[in-house]
Amino acid sequence: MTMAKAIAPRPLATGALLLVLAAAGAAGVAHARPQDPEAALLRVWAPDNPSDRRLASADQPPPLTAEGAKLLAQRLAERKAPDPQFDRTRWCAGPGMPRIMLMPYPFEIKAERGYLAFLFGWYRWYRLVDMSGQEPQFELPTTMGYSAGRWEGGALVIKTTGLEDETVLDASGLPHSDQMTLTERLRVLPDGHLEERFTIDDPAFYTRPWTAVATYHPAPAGIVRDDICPDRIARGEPAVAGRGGPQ
Amino acid sequence: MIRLGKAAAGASALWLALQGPALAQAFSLPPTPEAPGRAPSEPRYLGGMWDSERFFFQIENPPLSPDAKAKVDGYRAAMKSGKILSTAWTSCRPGAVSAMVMAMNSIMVLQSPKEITLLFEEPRLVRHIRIGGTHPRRLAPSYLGDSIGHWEGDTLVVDTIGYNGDFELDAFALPTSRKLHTIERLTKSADGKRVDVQVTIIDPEHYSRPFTASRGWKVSGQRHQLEYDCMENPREEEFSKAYFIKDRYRPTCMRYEGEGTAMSRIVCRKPE
Repeated sequence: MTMAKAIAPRPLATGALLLVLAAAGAAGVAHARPQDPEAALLRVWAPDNPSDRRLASADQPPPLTAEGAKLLAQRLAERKAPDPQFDRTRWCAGPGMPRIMLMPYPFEIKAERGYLAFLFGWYRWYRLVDMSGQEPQFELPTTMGYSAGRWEGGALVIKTTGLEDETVLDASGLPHSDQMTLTERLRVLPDGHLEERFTIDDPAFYTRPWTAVATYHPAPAGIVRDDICPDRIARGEPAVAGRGGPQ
Repeated sequence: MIRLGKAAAGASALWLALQGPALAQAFSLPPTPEAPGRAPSEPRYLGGMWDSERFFFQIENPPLSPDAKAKVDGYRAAMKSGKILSTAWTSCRPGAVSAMVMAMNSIMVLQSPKEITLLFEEPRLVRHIRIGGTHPRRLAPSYLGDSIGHWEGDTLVVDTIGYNGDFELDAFALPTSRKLHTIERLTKSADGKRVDVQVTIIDPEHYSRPFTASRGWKVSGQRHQLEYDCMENPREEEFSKAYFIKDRYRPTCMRYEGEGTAMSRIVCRKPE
């Protein structure tokens, strides 16, 4: 299978956060393997296109089922009205995965023995990736789900299940069910940017697995600060940067 | 739409706080056969997953100043009349020291030579402790303050200043001010299965002398944390019973139940 659109290797294409739909399992661009791929990941990253929080675009739509398309259409219409109810970030509830990776905030990746941790710049969220080699174990679905990672060559591959269905995939409101399996493939490109490929496998709303790609650039240490969403709303500021205030 | 019966937020967090350990136990994940990375032989290694030994919702016998005692007595009277205290903790913005004295469920510790990072499951909070160095001369007041750590023998001593005074120490709303200074001492047991946590609170604005809360963490058998989504479900009826310690804890978002076939709606507004 070939990718629908090639990733511009350098410089990054404008709008690189938007991303490329590709058939699941499509081969990536060949790059030299970093000597220590984990060490290359461990730093602060910021999205290359922080204004674009969509996982897919109208000209490259995801393979929605009829039910998925209907739900998305409802949400796109609801977004134009006050207080859209599908968007729980509006009241500072958890964005979930993969949406939090697309929000216009930096995040830091840190390591602990047996774990990787993503510390996000939005409202004290973080996620842990179990690197023990075991499959995710869970009984209660959560917004971040349960993540298990492994290294495949120079790429970190994270499988996440146990994702509750009240979150959306991105700011447009792309739906998912609690049966979704999210597979992420992260690697640091030769130009120093971080590439992350998200593969969504969710037969409840999509006719086949599909993949989108986001890129991030290195950001200064210390910019992932404590963020208190309800304080922002109390000041009349948006719950998520770039949004026009409480809606 | 929000499902009824989901973990509630806001004022109901106190209920959750009191029920949390039982809930956590009911839904506890199976222990993993081995926990890679655990290094019980390294006394200065605190990294890995820990569980709060028990949930403390109050600090016993704090040496309150007369003014602070009058306030706290008033809060207790409100509770006795059926009100639920709404604090920074229940309004989803606790301070770092509140998490240390009221930690629930698990705490993930990331340790490197330059920093120890504490990831609290509940209340959800990410706390950074720099190893070595000094506090900056100028600090913007914050919920977490500025934390620096050093080792005294095998005890990690954490010194924190720069708090914003916008949170309480416990569920009974023990007050804090911008003069708050905390010194925490974390010591791992010889068998590596427990961390003794001593939290010393110094705040001359509200307390006549320094005092210490003793807490403990035990090694966790879990590989994954659950999560606490405090703002998930701001139910209107919960706030009707609230006694707001400060006006700033009044809800900015609230779920209004629909009448008849109408769906409930969550609406956010800047307070008047």
